[in-house]
Amino acid sequence: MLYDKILNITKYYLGPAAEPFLNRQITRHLKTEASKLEPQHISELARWCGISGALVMDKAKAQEFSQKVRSVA
Amino acid sequence: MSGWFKNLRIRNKLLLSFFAVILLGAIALTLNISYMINVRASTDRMITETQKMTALREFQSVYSAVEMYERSYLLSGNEEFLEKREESEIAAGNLLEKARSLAHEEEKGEFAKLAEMMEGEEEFNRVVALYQSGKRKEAMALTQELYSEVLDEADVQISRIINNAQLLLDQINTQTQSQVHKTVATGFIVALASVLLSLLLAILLAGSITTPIAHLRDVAEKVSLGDLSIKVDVDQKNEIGELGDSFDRMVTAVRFFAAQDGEAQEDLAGKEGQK
Repeated sequence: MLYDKILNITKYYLGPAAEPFLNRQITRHLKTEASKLEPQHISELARWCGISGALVMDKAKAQEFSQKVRSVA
Repeated sequence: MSGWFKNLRIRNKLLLSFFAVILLGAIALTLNISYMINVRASTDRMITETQKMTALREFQSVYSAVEMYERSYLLSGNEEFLEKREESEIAAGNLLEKARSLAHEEEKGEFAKLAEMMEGEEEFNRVVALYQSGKRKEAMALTQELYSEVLDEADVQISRIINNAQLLLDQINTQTQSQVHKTVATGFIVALASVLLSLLLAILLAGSITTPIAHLRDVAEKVSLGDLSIKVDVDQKNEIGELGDSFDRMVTAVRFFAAQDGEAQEDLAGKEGQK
């Protein structure tokens, strides 16, 4: 449920790359799995979405993306 | 291009442009109708004044005939002239009434004076009585005296009315010409404004649609050639903006998938972020 909410937000910014992008942030940086995503992970996930997002998109947009992910919590 | 127009949806831009041109046309039509109503009113007044002048001139001529038939009767004693005199007097009365019905309020007094002058039945009876009692010379003298005075006064009165009508006609004519000039000028100005407005709206519309599409075409071209660093920059909040967003999302996904060393870059960026 939580994962789906964040995936929907991510889709707006990364389209078809949303799922692999999100999964990579969860597994690589949060050291967990998508199905085990908990509200306490959101802040860190949002930070990584901002950092990793800025590599493939405009910095302002990545910041906006990060804020939206953070607002899910 | 002003922001609000740029951000309008394309359908609304087209509708706005259409209504702007229609509104201009409607304003021009209203102005021209108002001018034409004025011209029509002026023409009606000119027709009235002309009819009044014509009736007065005919009256002058017919009333002179009354005098002529009366003299002819006095000279010849032929009673046919009396009948003709009577017919002419009735005709003159009708013409005067017709002219009076066409007169302005301020002219009514002058027409009343004219009508008063024409009432000479008693005098005429005196003339006939003198004539029938054998006093032909006296009758002729009385006729001469009566008509010379009345006709002179009537001529002055009629000339005054006709001169005023002529002045009014000139004035109306000048006003009508001015209205016609205004109509032509308004038509020309509105046609020119419509052309300029249509041109301006066409430029704005074309620019707001083709410029971002050309930009997206350039971005697609560069991405297709492997340049993923290009930024999608479409600053509109309408269908074009939505197309730009979709395109940006697609390019972002391509960047992500194409990043061979994405993870290494993320790690490095993460470390820099923690510092």
